[in-house]
Amino acid sequence: MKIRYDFVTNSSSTSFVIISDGEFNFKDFVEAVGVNRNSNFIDIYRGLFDAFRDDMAPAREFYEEHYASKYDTFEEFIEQYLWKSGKEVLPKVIAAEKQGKKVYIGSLSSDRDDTESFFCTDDFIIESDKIFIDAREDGW
Amino acid sequence: MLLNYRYDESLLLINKNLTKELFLQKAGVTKGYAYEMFASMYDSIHSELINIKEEYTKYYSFEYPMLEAFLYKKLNVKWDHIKMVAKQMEKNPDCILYRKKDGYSHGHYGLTQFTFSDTMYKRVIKILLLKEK
Repeated sequence: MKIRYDFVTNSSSTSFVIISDGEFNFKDFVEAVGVNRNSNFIDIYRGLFDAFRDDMAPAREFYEEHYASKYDTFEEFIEQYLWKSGKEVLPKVIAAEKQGKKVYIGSLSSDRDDTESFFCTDDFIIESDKIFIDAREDGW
Repeated sequence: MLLNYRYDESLLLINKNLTKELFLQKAGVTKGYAYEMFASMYDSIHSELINIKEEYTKYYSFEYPMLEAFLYKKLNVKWDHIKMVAKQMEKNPDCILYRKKDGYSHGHYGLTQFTFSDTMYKRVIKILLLKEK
């Protein structure tokens, strides 16, 4: 039997989908998230942007690489992997691909810092003409 | 100023002129998720707040001769903390002292944690006291 003496915590991760018309960049992200560039809290959203950017991968490549053996099709993967919002997100993903937009998938983690940990426990949508982010897969 | 005097119970100083609109304006959020997040943060901070002076005057002033005695004997706030609160109230005459019986009454545990995390604390408190220009 092992006994652990230091902190024992639960960690969590929240999957997200990003649809971006062109390159996913901070300027468009700030506009979509709804914060002024001179806000005292801009760093919080910079942290969120970085967390997205650091973990996002092209959705189809992600599927082929990690989940092709588990789900027969990409569509099935999106619907089931995103267990909360997959059915709602799938038509958006398919339409976005037809329009030549980029679709990414990834996850936020509760293990990195205060900021990412909070966003990992929240469920939210960020939307503008250029960006759509669905991060409702909050497993808390 | 946020002071935890017991598990999940805290004292909080908030400027009497602070409104939700002003809080959002000071946070620099205008729409979308950032607006919703800070609106929710405001609601979480203000959830189930009790105005201590009103509570004391209405229910406990016959029992305790001074507010400080009420804080010390009824709420078990440490004497050092009471002195600290008094000092803060003197420095911030436009503020009202509240107590929060359940820090997580709003229901979003993560948001409450984040609001007063090391990352956010000073900035949020500045807005609550309306010290932010």
